[in-house]
Amino acid sequence: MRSSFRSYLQSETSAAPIAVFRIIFGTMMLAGMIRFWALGWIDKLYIRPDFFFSYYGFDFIKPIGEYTYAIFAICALSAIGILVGYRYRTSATLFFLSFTCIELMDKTTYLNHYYFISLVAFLMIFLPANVYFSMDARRRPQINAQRVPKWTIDSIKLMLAIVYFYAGLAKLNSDWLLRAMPLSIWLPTQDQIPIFGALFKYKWMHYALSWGGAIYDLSIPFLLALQRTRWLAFLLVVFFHGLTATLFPIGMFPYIMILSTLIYFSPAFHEKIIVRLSNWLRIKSLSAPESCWRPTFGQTWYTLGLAVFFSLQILLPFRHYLYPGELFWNEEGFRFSWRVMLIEKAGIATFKVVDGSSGVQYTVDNSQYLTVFQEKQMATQADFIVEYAHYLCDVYQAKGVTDPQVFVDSYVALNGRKSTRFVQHDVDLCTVDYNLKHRSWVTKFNDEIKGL
Amino acid sequence: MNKAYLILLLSLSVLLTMLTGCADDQVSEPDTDGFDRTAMLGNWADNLIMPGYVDYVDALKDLVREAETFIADAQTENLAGVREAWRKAYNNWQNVSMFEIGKAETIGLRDYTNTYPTNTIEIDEFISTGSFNLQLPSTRMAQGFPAIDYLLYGIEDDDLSIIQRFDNGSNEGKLLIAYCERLLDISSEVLNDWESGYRDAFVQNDGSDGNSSVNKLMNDFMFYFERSLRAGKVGIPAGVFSSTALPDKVEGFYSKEYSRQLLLTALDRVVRFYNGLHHKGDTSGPGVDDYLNFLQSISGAEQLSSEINHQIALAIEQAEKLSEDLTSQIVSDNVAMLKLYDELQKCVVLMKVDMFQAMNIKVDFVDADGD
Repeated sequence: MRSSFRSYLQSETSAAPIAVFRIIFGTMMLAGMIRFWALGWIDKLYIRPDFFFSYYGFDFIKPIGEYTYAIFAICALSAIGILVGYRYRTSATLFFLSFTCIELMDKTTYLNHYYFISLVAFLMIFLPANVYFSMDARRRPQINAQRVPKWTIDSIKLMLAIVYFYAGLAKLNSDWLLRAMPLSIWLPTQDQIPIFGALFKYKWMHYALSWGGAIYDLSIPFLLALQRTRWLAFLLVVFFHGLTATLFPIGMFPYIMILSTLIYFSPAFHEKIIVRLSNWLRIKSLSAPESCWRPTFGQTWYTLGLAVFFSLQILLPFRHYLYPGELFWNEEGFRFSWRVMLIEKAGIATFKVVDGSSGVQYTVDNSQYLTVFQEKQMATQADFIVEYAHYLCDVYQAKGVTDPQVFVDSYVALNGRKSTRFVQHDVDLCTVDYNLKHRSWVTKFNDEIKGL
Repeated sequence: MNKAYLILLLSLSVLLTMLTGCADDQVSEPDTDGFDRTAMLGNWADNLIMPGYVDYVDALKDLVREAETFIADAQTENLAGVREAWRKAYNNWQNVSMFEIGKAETIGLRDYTNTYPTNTIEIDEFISTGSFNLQLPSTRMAQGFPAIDYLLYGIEDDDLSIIQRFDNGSNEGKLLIAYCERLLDISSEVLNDWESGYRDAFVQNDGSDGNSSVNKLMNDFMFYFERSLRAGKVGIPAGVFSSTALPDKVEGFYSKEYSRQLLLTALDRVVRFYNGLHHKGDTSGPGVDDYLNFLQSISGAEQLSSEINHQIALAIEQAEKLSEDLTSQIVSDNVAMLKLYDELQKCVVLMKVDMFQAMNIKVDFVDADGD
């Protein structure tokens, strides 16, 4: 066992797949940044709002006014660095830091696929994606190599496999499988999609896609890993992500995933891509020595680092077991767990500020402090509600209310159930701490969703 | 490699059994004809929105005429005439206010037409200097129905004194005409747009994404219901958002007798829009209620449509209990106003949370990615 693990660590493979992955990743990230900038989202999401929602422990990371553009510029430039493989490790580090920083500035915009990008970017820092077909390899022939350890490519494959498999596990719940929710809400209005549109009014179609989606997520890592099923798997990947791209406003994610899964293909396949690219871009091919890249500061540290990283990835999605109550309602341990497109939640939260000394009441107009997007996210997630309540506490104190108490009248509808009260309306949220402990001031979900 | 085939075959066969199995379970399909969103949009455009604008523009033409008569001959009878025309036009405005889409949205029709409380200081300045440019966005607070309300009712304490202010050639007279004509101009612009192409564009944009007509109009409707109706007409004057009640922030504050009527007309329009009822009478076509019924028959969720109607009815019932002048209602018994606010708030929860979820309506302006 030990020796087979050791020989696995020693085993080598072509550097072509990881070089191609580097190019794909850099290109997609650059495109993503340009798209984000061009749509005016930097201004809209990070500059115009007065208030930003922080992840617990990261409240020191906030947008920095107009300079926020600089962070996006760093992110875009380092994506180019990754793409061409120029000062690769610095580029990858800068990209990881700037991208993660952007994500931490306001949790309103949290998306699983942004988290995925942060994780891959982190992993990329340590992978030798620049030893082949890169500017670094041209500049510094001593790092140029044709081969890399097999585990470097496998670690990306494993990351992808975790995303899919956990997304599949998350779908194994009674709402998804037995009520076909939330697809039963999302699909019927999409009757103008070609071919499928006309079928979306049938409930069996929602079941088919729910079950199909779950089976897809659970099996695709294996189908991609096995050589005999790889092409079929890739067709499924294209079909599945193509469908979700048509149905839902999920931006770049489907395309990132489709192209990322190419890493599962053979070295020969990637060699062909590189030859094509070289011809197309008229890059003179650079013959790389037959040598294999090896970790500069020791295999043991790498092995240990990867073990810690992947153990965390495997354990984190299960952290909701540490909390009582319904995961979909409380959302304690919901994020960073590949629970993708899993619930449909709508809510409204009306805040009341009471002056403790005079008893005078004010109803808060949320639009004065939050953007529509922030208000929407806030209304259904209790950690947002408490942060915002604390902010209101400060705002009204500054307005001269010496002893403000903040209460919320909130209703949430989950996966097509009738809306019910979300946060207990008689709890003064100024007295509630924002932490990672169970939030007992959220009402109990009055139904049961069985599942993982 | 045999193993690989086995796994593949297994998963495929599982998938197939799932598909066929589920199909078998669902023998009785509800409402398989689908729902015709185009027809709903057509019903709104042809039977509710455009007839509403036609009536409104007609009422404004009357208002301009009556205002001219009054200015030419400022006397009690003519003051009553222009006031009555103002009241009718204001009431008709309530029929179209919620449809702030297309041209109305571009020009900001609602802001120019009905921003209250009106800025009397600015109006007094218009009168004393005789110069004003109502096209300026900064003058939104000093024009429209609330400004006319001030001119016709609030500029002096009694009718005789008011009439005296409108002597031939007075700046008051010029301003009154300018106000009425401005209202007519901007609403005619909107009606013209509906009649010359926008109607078809509106109806043909019959998809369901964020930019579709249904999605946009539902958001406009909700924005109107929350801000203009619930908060503007009731919540703000009742002091929901402030430390004390603000009875002078009532709609039609100076006339002191129409504020409840304006509210009831607005609520009636909500009922008509929701149920697909025509501009007048009891004829109805496809509306929000039918769309909701259709979608919920598919998803199997608890039916909402009648509950929403019931809640709106409760709000109307409470509104009918109020006195004609909401200012005096707030001063004498604000509890009744606050009760109305609560009923309207319940409507907001049902519509913005439950109805929007069931209809898969995306909240406005959120065009960031989801996952």
